[in-house]
Amino acid sequence: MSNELLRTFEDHGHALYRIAWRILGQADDVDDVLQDVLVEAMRVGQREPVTSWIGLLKRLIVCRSVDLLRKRNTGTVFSDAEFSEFNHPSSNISPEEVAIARELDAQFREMLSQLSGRQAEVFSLRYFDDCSNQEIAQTLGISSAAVATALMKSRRKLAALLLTDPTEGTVQ
Amino acid sequence: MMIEPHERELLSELDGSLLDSVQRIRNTSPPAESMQTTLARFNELLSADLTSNEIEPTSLAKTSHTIRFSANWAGGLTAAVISVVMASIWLSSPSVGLAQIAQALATQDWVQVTETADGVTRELWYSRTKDISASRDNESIEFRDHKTGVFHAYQRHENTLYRALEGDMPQRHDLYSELASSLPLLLEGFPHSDLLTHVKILDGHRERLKVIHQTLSRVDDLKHDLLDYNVMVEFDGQPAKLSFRIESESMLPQYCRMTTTYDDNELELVLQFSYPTQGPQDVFSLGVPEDAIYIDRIPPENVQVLLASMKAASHRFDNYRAIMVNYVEGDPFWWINANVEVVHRKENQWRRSSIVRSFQLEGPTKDTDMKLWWAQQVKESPVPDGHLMTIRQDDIEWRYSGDSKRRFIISVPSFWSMTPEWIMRPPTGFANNLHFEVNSTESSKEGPAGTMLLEVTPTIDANVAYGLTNATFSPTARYWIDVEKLLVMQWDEIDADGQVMSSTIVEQTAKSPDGYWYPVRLLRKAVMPNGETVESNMAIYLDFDSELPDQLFKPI
Repeated sequence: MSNELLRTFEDHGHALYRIAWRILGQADDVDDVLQDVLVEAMRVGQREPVTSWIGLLKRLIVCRSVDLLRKRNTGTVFSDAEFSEFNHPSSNISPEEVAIARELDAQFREMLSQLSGRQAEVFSLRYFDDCSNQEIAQTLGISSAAVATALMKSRRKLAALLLTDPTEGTVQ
Repeated sequence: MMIEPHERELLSELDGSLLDSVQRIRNTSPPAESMQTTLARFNELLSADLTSNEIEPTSLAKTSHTIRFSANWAGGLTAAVISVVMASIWLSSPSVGLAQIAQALATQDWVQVTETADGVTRELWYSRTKDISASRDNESIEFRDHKTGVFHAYQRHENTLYRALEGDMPQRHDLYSELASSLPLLLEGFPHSDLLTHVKILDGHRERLKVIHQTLSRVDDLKHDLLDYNVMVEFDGQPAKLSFRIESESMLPQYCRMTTTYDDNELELVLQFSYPTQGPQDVFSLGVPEDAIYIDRIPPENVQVLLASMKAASHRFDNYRAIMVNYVEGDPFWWINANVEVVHRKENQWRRSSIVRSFQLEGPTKDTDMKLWWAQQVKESPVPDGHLMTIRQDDIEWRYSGDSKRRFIISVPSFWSMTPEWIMRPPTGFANNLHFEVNSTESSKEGPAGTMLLEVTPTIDANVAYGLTNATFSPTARYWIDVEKLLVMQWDEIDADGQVMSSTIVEQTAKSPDGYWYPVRLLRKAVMPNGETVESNMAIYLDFDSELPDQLFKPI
C-alpha cells in the first residue's frame, strides 16, 4: 500500500501542492494539509482497497484545504513568510498593486470558504486543478449532473459575493 | 501570458471579478523552495515507511482512533518532550525586545494550566515569584511551598490532609510556566536551523531528540491577534507534534495540544493556559473540607536539624579516591572472592568503576598494609581504570552497562551505598512521602552507646501504597545516629513482625582532612528466609591525595 502511495505522491506531488496552494495561499498551511492528507490516505488504504490513489489524494487535498480555509478565516490572514515569498509573474507590477492583489486574493479565499463543502470542492477541482466535469465526478463519487449543478451554484454565489460592497452593503 | 486552449475554455466559464480573481490565483506560483522542501520531506517520510508512526493531523477534535491512557504517564512523556524542546528553546539567544518580554513573563505572578488527558482533568498552578506550586484533580489536592520545603496534600479517598517535608527533589509544577516564558525566545529566532546544537543541558539527550519541522503563522480572528506555532519532533524515534496558540502581543500561550504515538497507541494531551494575578493562598483555598482528618508527618525540629547536618556532611565531603571492598571474613579465599569497586570524587563529580582482578593464590597476611595492598591490586588490574559503571555530575548520572548508556536525574547518587560519605548517611525515604511516621529517641538504650535512635515506620502496607506485589524493601528502618560524628553507627531493617531482617554496623571510623567522619569497616548481618544469619564485611580505603583529572569525570 505504501509503495503505491509513494509512487502516486512522487508523480503528482507538485500538482497536489499546487491545488492546496491555490486554495490556501500559504506555504505553512499547505504543509500542514499535506501532512494531514497523507496520514488520512494511509488510514483509508489500511481500511479498504483504494482503486485510485490520485483521486483519493485530490479529494482529500481539496476537502482539507477548504476545511482549513474555513477554520482560519475570520478576516485577513497572512504570514510573515508569505511576504518574502510573494511571487508575481510580472516584474513590472508596483508594490501598491502587489498589496492590492494580495488583499483581493485573501478576500476571494474568504468567499470561497463561504461556499458549501461540495460547491467549494467542485469549484476548486475545476478552476484550480483543471479537471473536467467527468473527472470531478469520478474524484468525488458523484454524477456529472451533480457536478454541473454545483459548479453553476458556486460561480453564481462567488460572483454575487464579489459584487457586494462590504461598506455599503449593496450589490453594485 | 500565453493561455493554453483547455485553460481558455475553462476560463471562458467565468467573467468579471470572478474571472479576475481566479486568473490571479492561477497565475501566482507557489514558492519554489518551500514546495521542493515539503515534497522532498514527505517523499522521504513515505520512503522510510513511517506510516505506522505518522503524527495525528492537527485537529481540535479527537478522532475515533485516539486511545485513552494514563494522565500521569502522558504527563511524563509530555514533560520529557516538552522539557527537552523547552530546554533548547530556553538557551537560545534572544533579541533584546523579546528577551524583555521573556523577563516579564519570568516574573508573571501565576501560571495556571488545565491539563486534560484520557478524560482526566488536572489543574496546576505555579508562581515563580512566590515559588509555590499547587494542584487539584479528582483524587487529591496539593499545595507546596518550595521556599519552606513544606507541602500539604489532601487525599480525597481518605478525607485526610497531610503535612510533610518535600525533601531533595521538590515537585515544582513549573514545567508549563517555563514553557510559557520560553516561547518568545523561540519565536524570535524562528525557525531555528540548529535548535539543538550548543545546548549543554541536552548532553545525553541530544541524540534522542530530532526537530523535524516548525511552522509559524499569524491568525487574526477580529477578536484576538494570535500566533499559531507548530513544531514536530521525534523523541526516541517516536514522532510528536506540539501545536500552540499564542497571544501575539504578550506572547503568552493560550492553548497547547500535543499528539504522539506510543506502542502504536495515539495519545493526546491538551493544555489551557491562564495567567491570574492571584493564585491559591493555601491548601484550604483549593477546597479541602473542614472535616478533613489532619496528620502531621514532619519530624521534630531537632531531628530535622540533625538530618540536614548529616546531609551537609555528605555534600561537603573531601575529594578522594576510594577502594570499596565487599568480602566475607570467614571465606578462606576472601581476597579472591571480594567484590571491589573504585569510586572517585571531585567536588560534585563522581566516577564509579568495578575492578576485575587476576587470580592470585597468595593473599595478604595479618601484617599486610591492606590499603597499600588493595591499591596495588587495583593498579595491577587487567582492565585499566576498571569497568566504568557510573559518571555523576551534580544531579545527573550516566549509567553504563555493556554498550548501553542511560541518563538519569537523581538527587542522591544511586550508588550511595558504595561511597564513604553516603553509606552511613543513608536517605531515610520519608521526605515527600505521606505514609511514613518518624519517631526519635535520644540516648536510646538499644544500639550503640551514645546514639540517638531515629525510627521510620510505614503507616500502610508498602504493596498497597505503591501498587506493588511482594515489595522487598523493609517496612521499618531504625537508625542509631552519633550526633557528634553525624554518622549512622547502626542501621537495622525490621519486618512487619518486628523481627530484624538486616543490620549494618560500623566497626571503625576515621576522620577526613576536612573533618568529616566516615566508616572504615562495616559488618553486615542479613537474616535469610530460612532463619539463617549471614554475615559480610566491607572495608573502605580512602586516598585524599590522589590525582583527580577532570577527564575522569567526563561522560563517554
